[in-house]
Amino acid sequence: MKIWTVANQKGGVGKTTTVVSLAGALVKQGKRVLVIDTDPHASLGYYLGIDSEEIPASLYNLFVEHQSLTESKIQAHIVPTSVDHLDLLPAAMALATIDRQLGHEDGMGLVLRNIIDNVSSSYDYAIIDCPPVLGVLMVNALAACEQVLIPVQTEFLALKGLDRMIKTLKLMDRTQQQQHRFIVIPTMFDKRTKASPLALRELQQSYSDHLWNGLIPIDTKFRDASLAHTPVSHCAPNSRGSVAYRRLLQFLDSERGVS
Amino acid sequence: MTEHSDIAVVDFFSRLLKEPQSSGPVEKPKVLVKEAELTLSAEQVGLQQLLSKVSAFDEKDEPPKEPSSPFTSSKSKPEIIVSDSTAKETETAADIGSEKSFLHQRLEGEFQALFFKVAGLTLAVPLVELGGIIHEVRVTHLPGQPTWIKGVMTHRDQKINVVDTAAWVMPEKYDANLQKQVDYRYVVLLQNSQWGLACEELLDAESINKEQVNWRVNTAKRPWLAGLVKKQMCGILDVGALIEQLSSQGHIAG
Repeated sequence: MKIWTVANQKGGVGKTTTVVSLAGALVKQGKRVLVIDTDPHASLGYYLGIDSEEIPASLYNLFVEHQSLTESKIQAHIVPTSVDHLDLLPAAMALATIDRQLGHEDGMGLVLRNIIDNVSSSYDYAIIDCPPVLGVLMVNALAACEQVLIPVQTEFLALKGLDRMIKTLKLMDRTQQQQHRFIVIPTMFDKRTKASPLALRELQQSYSDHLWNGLIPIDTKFRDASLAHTPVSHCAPNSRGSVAYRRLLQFLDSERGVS
Repeated sequence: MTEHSDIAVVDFFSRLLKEPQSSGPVEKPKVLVKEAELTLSAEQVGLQQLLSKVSAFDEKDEPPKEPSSPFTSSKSKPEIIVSDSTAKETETAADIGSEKSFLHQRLEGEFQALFFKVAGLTLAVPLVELGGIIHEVRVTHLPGQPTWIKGVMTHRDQKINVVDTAAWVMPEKYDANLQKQVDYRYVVLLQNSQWGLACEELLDAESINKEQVNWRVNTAKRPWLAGLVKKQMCGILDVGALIEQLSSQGHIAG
């Protein structure tokens, strides 16, 4: 099972779109995918047409009951989506209280890893959507994954957020005595603007070792897809956005992507 | 980040990523405790109206004559009120509250707050003062309890007294008809106390800057109402003060 975390400490950079689009592209290849929403805003669930406040249980309950997790209990919290082979472990707003409730406890950063371990035989991929806040949930998402995908909107303010995210990863590496693999993904690229090419150049100069050699363009099909509660790969498979995520997936699954 | 904050972050990571050595029970987080109660009305009025109403309350030693309920007031505009039952306790709460720090003194410059709704009323609680959220209201009603206690439920092996929030904040408006309409779906736990507020809807968790709140200076009469969040036009609760008042009136240790 491959585990990817999509993270950036800046909001609105395309994290949820990246999670859903990659998941969509994977299920089109016949893979079984679990997407995990760790953001209390629960945008991933809303994107997939699942209102987290309407369902009886969520990731929050698993955190609260982290000392008695079993595979069947975890499976009971996972909900199927309208897309075949794509399941969701949903968030709930109550997750916003996790830092206060459980942030004092040793080992609370390893709960999600434990959850995923328990269901690893049921899925080929797990993709984790992260909140834009450094706290217990983000630490869990980073500790659970093999690879971190950092979508960065191609504009200057977003580059600042990228510095912060990479600093966080380095500090975490220092703690865990390991090195996170991370890939920077330029998103919302709009060639008609001045800012996008300039920001892309800046990314190429500063992060060449970790930068994906492609980009995710601005595409209205992403909006259409979210309105239809389906991945862009299912809603508009030949759109520029969908093609771009397929390329990204190819890269991530290649040797270069995982090295 | 400075070197100092780096150390703090690494320390945070170390604790969270520590492999558990045993699966024994974990010590519960410590709580800051404060006290009192809440009440306010809610249809969205002009901010100035609302703020001036609060200021007017605060400037006087005695609160203006309270309407029997925010919804039955002779004035048509919504206002912040204290229910009859709570008003009786305000002196006690004020006395205790005066020895405590104000909510705005305890909070960081920027803090996160949870917004929730009950019977059309929006309230905010700082996340640092929140004990958690229970996604069901399955209570056992015990005889002899005040009507504003919906009942008790068990959560993580602890007994929680669930407040019928609408009954507490608007006792006279809360007739059988309104009672039928209110659909409690969540319990917002107050710190690590035995108290939780039943609510109908969780709206959002948002970051707020302290400057975005009109903090009340004189909280002697209503220690539970720490201020008003300007953008959302809703009251922000001093949870500690609320716990104290609930405990005092419910005769239950919080």
